[in-house]
Amino acid sequence: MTSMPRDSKTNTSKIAQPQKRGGSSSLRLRNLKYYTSQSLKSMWRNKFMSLTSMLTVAACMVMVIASFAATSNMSLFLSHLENTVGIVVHIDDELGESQRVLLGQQLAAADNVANITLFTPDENLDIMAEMWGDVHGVFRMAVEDERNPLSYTYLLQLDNVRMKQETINTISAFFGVDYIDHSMEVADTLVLANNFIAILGIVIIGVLAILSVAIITNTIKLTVNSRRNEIIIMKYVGATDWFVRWPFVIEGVLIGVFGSLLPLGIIWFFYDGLIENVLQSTLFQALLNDFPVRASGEIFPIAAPFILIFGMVIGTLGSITSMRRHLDV
Amino acid sequence: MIKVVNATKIYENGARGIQDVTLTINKGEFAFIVGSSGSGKSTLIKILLRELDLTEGEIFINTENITFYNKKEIPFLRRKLGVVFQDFRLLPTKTVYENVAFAMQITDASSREIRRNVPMVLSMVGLQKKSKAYPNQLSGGEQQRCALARAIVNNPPILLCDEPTGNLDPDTAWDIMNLLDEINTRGTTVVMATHAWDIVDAMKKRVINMKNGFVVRDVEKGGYSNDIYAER
Repeated sequence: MTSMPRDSKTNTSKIAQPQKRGGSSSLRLRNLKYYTSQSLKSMWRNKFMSLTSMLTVAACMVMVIASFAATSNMSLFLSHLENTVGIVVHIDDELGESQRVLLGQQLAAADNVANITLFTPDENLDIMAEMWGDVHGVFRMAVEDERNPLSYTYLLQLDNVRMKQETINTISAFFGVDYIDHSMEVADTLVLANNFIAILGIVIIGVLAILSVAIITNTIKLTVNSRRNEIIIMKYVGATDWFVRWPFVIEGVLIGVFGSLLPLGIIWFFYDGLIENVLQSTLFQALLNDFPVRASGEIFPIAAPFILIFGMVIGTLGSITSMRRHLDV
Repeated sequence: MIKVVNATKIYENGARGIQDVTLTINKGEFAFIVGSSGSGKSTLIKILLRELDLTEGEIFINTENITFYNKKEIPFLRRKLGVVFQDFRLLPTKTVYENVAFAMQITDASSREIRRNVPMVLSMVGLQKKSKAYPNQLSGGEQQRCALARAIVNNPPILLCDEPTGNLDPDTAWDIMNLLDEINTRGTTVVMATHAWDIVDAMKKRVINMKNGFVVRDVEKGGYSNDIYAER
């Protein structure tokens, strides 16, 4: 028998014409309805497995949110500490009253300066006495009859402590500035610590994300395995990969979303109460007071979209990776 | 028309599924593929379904070379090939109606088309009263009729059957054969792999006899051959 030419594939016979309708990777409204109904039915049929997957997602998300909240609050605290590190500008003793005011205006108008406070030599003496623990006023008596050696100073709070050096360079050139007292070491340590916390947060969330995908993929894999025969039958009767895949993808998305709602609910209802309890604890108050914290109103708008999208993505990835090998029929 | 040209399938473990098979099954024909277990009957069906790739040779369906169809083209080929298996392969979580409708849904048929065609084909196979039943609520014969309804609902030009009566008692098997004969009479090409010598003998259709992967006999209106009688 003479074999037909291999390029006969280009013929437009009845069999060869692939129907362009049905089963493409794009979602059509009519199909979406079908896929969604199939997903919901499947979730209902495999209630236990679906619930397990959702709880797995929820557990991972709780850890992600906890990490986010912890690092976010730690970062806020360090930023708060950073901003308390001010710059003390010592004013030339020769400067008159009007020139001091002028210098104050210049300093207040300088970039990165949040606010300024003027301290007189007497006030500086009081501060020094207090710092040195001079409860009996010995320090003040020693200088009583003498001229107070301390000068006028301006205490500057900065908008951004990371720009401290630039600010110092700028104001050093101002007329009337004697010298500037600052501690770069403290600022640098705080900046370093804050950066470290931010990176640590990203790493923790990244690791949890990878773990979540792995755990959820395995959980969904169990669901997909239990329905392996169904997938094979679908393929035998001519279903495209995407026709088989879409209901599983939607199921994965729904599991991700429902699983994410639980931790978001926890933030919404319990976060503020939890933080309040922690702040009021004796140990905490003994260690730190005036500890700034992020309220649920600050955490929620960032966490909600992130967690929901994250849940959807891991649900989808879990579904697609779990069923890949089953589609090869 | 199905045309198989010098087709050979060697499995990864070295086993030979079919060897140098060349045959043509014309449009509207009813052909039995017979032979003992391991003779290559099911391999041939799987190759026609493109579940297996050929090691050598080519396959044409309606002059179209399907040998090199890629993964994306295969589903569209399968929609044109109705297929019935020995173990029915129904979706257990769908009703009879849904199982049949599913074959239309994957082709993106409209709800109206589905509502029109599915009851029609269920009526044809005598399952109209069982449309809401689930596969586990059906007898073997009913399950196979449901599988048959699913296979023909898209009106495929070719119907491939891999031992469709293998799990059925003789009376039920004949019900299925009568249905297949009726489907064939309406113009569908039917290719059926089977061990059922009594059916083959009685139907007087074309018989392609396979042994060790080779086609050893191909006769019009034949029966199970004498040497096959000896085998069974």
